[in-house]
Amino acid sequence: MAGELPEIFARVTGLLLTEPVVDRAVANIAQAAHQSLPGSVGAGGTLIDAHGRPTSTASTNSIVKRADRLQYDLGDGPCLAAWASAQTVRVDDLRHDQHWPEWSRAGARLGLLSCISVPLLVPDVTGRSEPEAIGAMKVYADVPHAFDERSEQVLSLLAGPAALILANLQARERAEQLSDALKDALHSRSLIDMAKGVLMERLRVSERAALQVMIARARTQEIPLSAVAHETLEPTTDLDRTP
Amino acid sequence: MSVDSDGEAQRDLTAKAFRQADLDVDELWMHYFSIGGDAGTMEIDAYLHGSYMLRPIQRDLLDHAIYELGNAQKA
Repeated sequence: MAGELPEIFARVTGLLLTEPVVDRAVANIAQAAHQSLPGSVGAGGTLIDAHGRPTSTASTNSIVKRADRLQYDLGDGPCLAAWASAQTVRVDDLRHDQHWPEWSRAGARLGLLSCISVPLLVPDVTGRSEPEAIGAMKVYADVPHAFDERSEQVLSLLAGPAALILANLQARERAEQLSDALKDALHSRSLIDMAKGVLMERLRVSERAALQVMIARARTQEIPLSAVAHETLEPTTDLDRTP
Repeated sequence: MSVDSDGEAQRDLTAKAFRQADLDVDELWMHYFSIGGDAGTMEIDAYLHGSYMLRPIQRDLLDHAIYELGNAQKA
């Protein structure tokens, strides 16, 4: 968490992108994928949370949205597979696909006959572990066998910047959770500091001795140090002067 | 006992408790900070691995942060 404190300041100072900005940027990248892949009838990017639920989507048109919704409602499909495996998934003919028959047949009825999904991968900042998959980018065609290895490469190249932009959105959410945690931490910290000062005065002891009195009390009564501080500062408390 | 050997003895005990509790350093730092700790993540990490010495109050706070998080895990 300490390493992520800069995120809080980044958010406060407006360095992190807002959701509409991110959605527009990802929609533009999806549009670039759509226009550069022959046969495409639509493309989109989806941010997927740890439970496999889509949290943010951007797509070129409504047919992509419908095909996506179907996939997340069924809880299975090529985008979820690309995300979960961090691998590219290509379906050459939705009418004959065996991996996700329910989704494929429904997609085929919408007129989508082939597709590619690539994972949205964010490099690990520390460089110590594998890139993390945070979603998927996909493109659909209305003919079978519209895409090949080259299409996979193009889509993967576009997925790189899309992933980085979407990761910014995740950082923003994490920064919001962190600033709540930080507010709580600062509150408890100041209570403990005040109680320490009160005890130093009441017991005429050093700072460390006052802290040790509080720690001893916390351990004996099996309560958090912050609760000891709270009790110490209660005006009605008749304080036991022996530790 | 010299001041240093006091500190080292305390550090050994705290490091042992840290290993037993199997805590994440970042999570530990946040809790240590919330009870008044001043040292940074790198400093507490180095202290727990025996290559850095904290001031007495910081040692007491870190030890107690591990104690509280360890109890929270058991509960």
